[in-house]
Amino acid sequence: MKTLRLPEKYITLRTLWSSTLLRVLLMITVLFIASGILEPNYFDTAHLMTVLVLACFLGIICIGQTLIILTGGADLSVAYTVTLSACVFGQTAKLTGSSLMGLLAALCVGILIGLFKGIGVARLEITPMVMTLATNSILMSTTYLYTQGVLKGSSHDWLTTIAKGSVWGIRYCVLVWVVLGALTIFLLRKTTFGRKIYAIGSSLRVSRLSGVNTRLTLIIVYVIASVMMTVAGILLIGYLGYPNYTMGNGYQLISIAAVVIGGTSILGGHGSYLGTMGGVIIIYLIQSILIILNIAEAGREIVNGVIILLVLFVYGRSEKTT
Amino acid sequence: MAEAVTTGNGAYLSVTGISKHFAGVQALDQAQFSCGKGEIHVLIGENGAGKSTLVKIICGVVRKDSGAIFLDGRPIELQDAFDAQKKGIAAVFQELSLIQDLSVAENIFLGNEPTNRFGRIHFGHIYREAADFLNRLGLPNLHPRHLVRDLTLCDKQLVEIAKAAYKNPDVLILDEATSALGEREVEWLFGLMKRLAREQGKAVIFISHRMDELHQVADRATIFRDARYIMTFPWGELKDDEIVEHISGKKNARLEISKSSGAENDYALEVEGASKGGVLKNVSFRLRRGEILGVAGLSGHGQAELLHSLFGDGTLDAGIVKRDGRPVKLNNERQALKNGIVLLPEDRKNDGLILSHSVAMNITLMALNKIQRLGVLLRGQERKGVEDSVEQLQIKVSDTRLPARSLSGGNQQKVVIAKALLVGAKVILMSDPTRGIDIGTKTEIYRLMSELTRKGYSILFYTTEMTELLTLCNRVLVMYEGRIAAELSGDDVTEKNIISKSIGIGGVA
Amino acid sequence: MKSDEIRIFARRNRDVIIAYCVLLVVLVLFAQAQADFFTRYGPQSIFNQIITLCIAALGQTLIILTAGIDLSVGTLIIFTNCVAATIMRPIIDLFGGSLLLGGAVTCVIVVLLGALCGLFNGCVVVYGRLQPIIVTLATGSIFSGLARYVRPSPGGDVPSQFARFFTGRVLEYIPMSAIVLLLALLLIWMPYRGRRYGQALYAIGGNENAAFLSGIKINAVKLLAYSIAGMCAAICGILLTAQTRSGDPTAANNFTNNSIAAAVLGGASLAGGKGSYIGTIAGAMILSLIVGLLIFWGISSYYQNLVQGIILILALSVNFFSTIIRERRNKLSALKGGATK
Repeated sequence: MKTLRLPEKYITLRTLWSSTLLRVLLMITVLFIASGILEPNYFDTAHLMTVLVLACFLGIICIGQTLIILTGGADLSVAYTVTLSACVFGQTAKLTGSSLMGLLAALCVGILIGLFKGIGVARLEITPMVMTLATNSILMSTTYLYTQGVLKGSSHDWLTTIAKGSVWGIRYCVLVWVVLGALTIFLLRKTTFGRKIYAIGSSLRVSRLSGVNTRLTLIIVYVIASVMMTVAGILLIGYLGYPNYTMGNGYQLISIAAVVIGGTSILGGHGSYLGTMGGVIIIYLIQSILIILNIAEAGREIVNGVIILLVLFVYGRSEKTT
Repeated sequence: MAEAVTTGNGAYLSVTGISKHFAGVQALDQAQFSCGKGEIHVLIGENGAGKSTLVKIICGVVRKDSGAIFLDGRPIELQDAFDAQKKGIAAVFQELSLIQDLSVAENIFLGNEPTNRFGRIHFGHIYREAADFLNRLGLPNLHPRHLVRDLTLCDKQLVEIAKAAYKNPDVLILDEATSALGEREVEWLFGLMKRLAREQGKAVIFISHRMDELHQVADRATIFRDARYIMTFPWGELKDDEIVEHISGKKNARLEISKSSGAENDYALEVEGASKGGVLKNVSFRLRRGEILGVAGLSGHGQAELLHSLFGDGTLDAGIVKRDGRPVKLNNERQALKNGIVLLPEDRKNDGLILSHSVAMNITLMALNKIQRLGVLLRGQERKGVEDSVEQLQIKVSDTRLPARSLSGGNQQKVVIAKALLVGAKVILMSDPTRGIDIGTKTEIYRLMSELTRKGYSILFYTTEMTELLTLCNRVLVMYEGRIAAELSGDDVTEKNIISKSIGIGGVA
Repeated sequence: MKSDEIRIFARRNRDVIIAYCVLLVVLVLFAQAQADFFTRYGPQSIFNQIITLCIAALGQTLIILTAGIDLSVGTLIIFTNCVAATIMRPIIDLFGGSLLLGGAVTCVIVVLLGALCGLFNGCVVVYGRLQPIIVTLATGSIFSGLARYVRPSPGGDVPSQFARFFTGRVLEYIPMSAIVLLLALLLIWMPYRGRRYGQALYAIGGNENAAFLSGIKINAVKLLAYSIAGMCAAICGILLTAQTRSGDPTAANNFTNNSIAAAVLGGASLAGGKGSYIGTIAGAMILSLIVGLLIFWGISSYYQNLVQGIILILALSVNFFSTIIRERRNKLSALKGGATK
């Protein structure tokens, strides 16, 4: 019987690099400096705040995406979960004349969408990515059926204030992101629910055999995730002024990219939301560099794909390789 | 290095100085043996003694750290399993390696399908040839067109053997290939082995734990113990008890553990008429408080299903389960835990532990409810629970934040036990808890079991190792084809009785 | 003996048989709805409706058989569609205005491009040892970006003859689409049907380790499967070009979704090792014809995605429902057994 010995602890570049959070922080710094070199105007806090404002919508969506990826899935229905809930908010608020009703209706829709996806994954045991892909297609139809091709409604004052107003130079929506983000980090690190999420993502079987209510946990995860996407959709109306049919499309892929860049394993079970927050900022720093370099949307799509592949190559297959 | 060979015409396959290390565990240390043509060579040793690792190295499935393999006198280096097959080494492993959705014949021919000039497979030819081959082999009951998925475990094992035999290898390795076979099939296999060795001059390497089987076929034997080579001897030169001594390494290896028979008429768990989908048929028994009740039988006769059903894996089709005299529902794992029943699964690595998570997270996973308030984890209580478990079970780990993967097999098993103890369930279902564990830890686990029973825990103990049943259990249930074939107790708990009941001799009690 | 073989055949192909029974029902409904079903226009319109999905789904089936999944089919089809619509006119001009030669060369180039894209997918999956599902999601984004590069806006110059050739009839009665479908089937059958590569696909999907032990060259088999799947997507892109006479990088299509659904409806298992090309064609026909039916019945096109999404989910829950039925049956028989005792 040989007892285990740890390697001596000394700090090298290698051990620093092996810490995901430091790695993310390093990438953010490099990218920020790079964008500053390319465009000196961007080398200030105002630019950083612009990036943060853009990032907060993706950041809130990524709360959902992180939770789902941690359980070993991935949500491919981001696009129309965001869009449908934004449309529901706009239309209900207009019909009832009360933005509160709109908010409630949108949140209810978010919960229903989450239940639908969660039951499909947890109870019918459908591969999460395929289940959410099918859900996206259903939600797309639902969006068009619901609006009958005519988008109604617009932002409300309080919503516009949240999206565009600021206190001490910090936008309210960024504060919303920070608060929700802190809650997510607490949920994942300090609660039994968080423990169960990590356990399920690492091994559904062991979790079940250890008495974890895997189905209920999964369903709750999908509900929380969808509600977060709903919140992001409503905030987006505040930012854009009006809902539109393609408002969610751009977030589909980059939400997964941000989570993976943030060091969460695409296989589930390992990662953190703090990392994802860094991943989200990295995504937008890259986007701003691409805009400085005058690269069109086509190029950005390609870059997004390449980034995911590169990140997967670097640390996507560290844990369980089949 | 190779020793003189007493049968056959010289050592055809020989290995020397083979060592292999798996994550902190020495699986093989300077192992050696040789096997001549026309010889049936058996490898014996306890579970975890290194036989299977050695066989996997010879088949190219596992890479050796050091040592040499000689085939027909020439040293060979094996790249992978296919490489080994090309060199004429084929094996049947315990884990089935068949493609479920292909037919019997397609499986036998997989990778070697006969094709015409244009690369088309002669399916007609395959089915004819397979039928013919199975007939010649003495397995006319296997239909070449049947899907492997639809076969019984026993038939699957036969297909596996046929697949290896069809490759017509010079060295055929059978690693516990008899585990799923019935008596008649075992007899058939021995006939085949003898034919291959005596008539066709092949080298056959056979691994089995059953002495009576070895008596029927062995020419020579090599004993391994604790990853080391012990000795090679012509079969018949040593008496059975001498062999057992060499295997266990101690004279009178009997443990000083008193059997836990529990209290009379005080039952912690009662099962009446449990049936489930053809794998469990009308199973009834009672587990006393403070008892270690053994469950025996050849693998695949419903033992695993019994334990898993009692832990709420799928509902029983019929039957009543009583816990402390009260009927309980066990529709899922949570209900089982709530009723104080916990399972230590046989597949520690896949079912018992999350290898990539820390030791601490593993230990508390089952008992999350006990270390929380309003869903928020209480760090202090968690740390205390983990530290107490590590101390009570003497888990050898320098830091409980290390991943469970970094522990040795024995310590991993202790972590699984710690999980179960922390949750506080008083009925523990154990499924082969000492598989692949070194002798020292095994003894610790036996002591622990005995200690637990004194504290009022009751253990339903399924194991594949006869000695464990004989040392620990005062009562043993023997299962055969999903039924309880016999309930042995007291002096009736003997190796002979258990074996005869587990192969269906003596009718159903 | 003979009846035994039939029984085994039925057991092996149960899902395919069920798929064709469903298809028959859909066809009957279709015949009722479509006035000219029994004229020579009937088959033509049917085959034009089903052809693109059939071919995309055949490619998807190959990948699913290896226990993978291809989420990049949809955008690869758009990419090849845009390339075909863009390069066709210059190539025709290059060949002195010869429609036949120019069209043929365009098709060959596009199919090779598709194979290359598929091969890229395969290489990343095989040599990167990554999960196909996330890899193809990423490459899908790359293909979409490339499509936008090739055609920043919808359009392109596709000769009407090209469109008529692919959507028309040959010898008055045979729809060209049917011939293309046969050719695509041949493309898949040539390396696979009744060949070692075909057996290897099933083996890899069923039990990769066992396949390896049987000496199957896993990397080669997977790379070929991904390449041919890419070719299928490209053929689908060419047909789309013929049908729409343009290339549209912004077109939202449902090919990824529906190709998976078609394969599953045809008896494929996402776990790999189970499925058939003939079954997939039935699945693809069911899915496309249901869309046709919705149109005939005057149901808003907004419902299309809804119906297809629900079919995909239902097809994937069959496993769940059959388990429930099996458990209930076991319980019933156990009850009866208890009563007779």
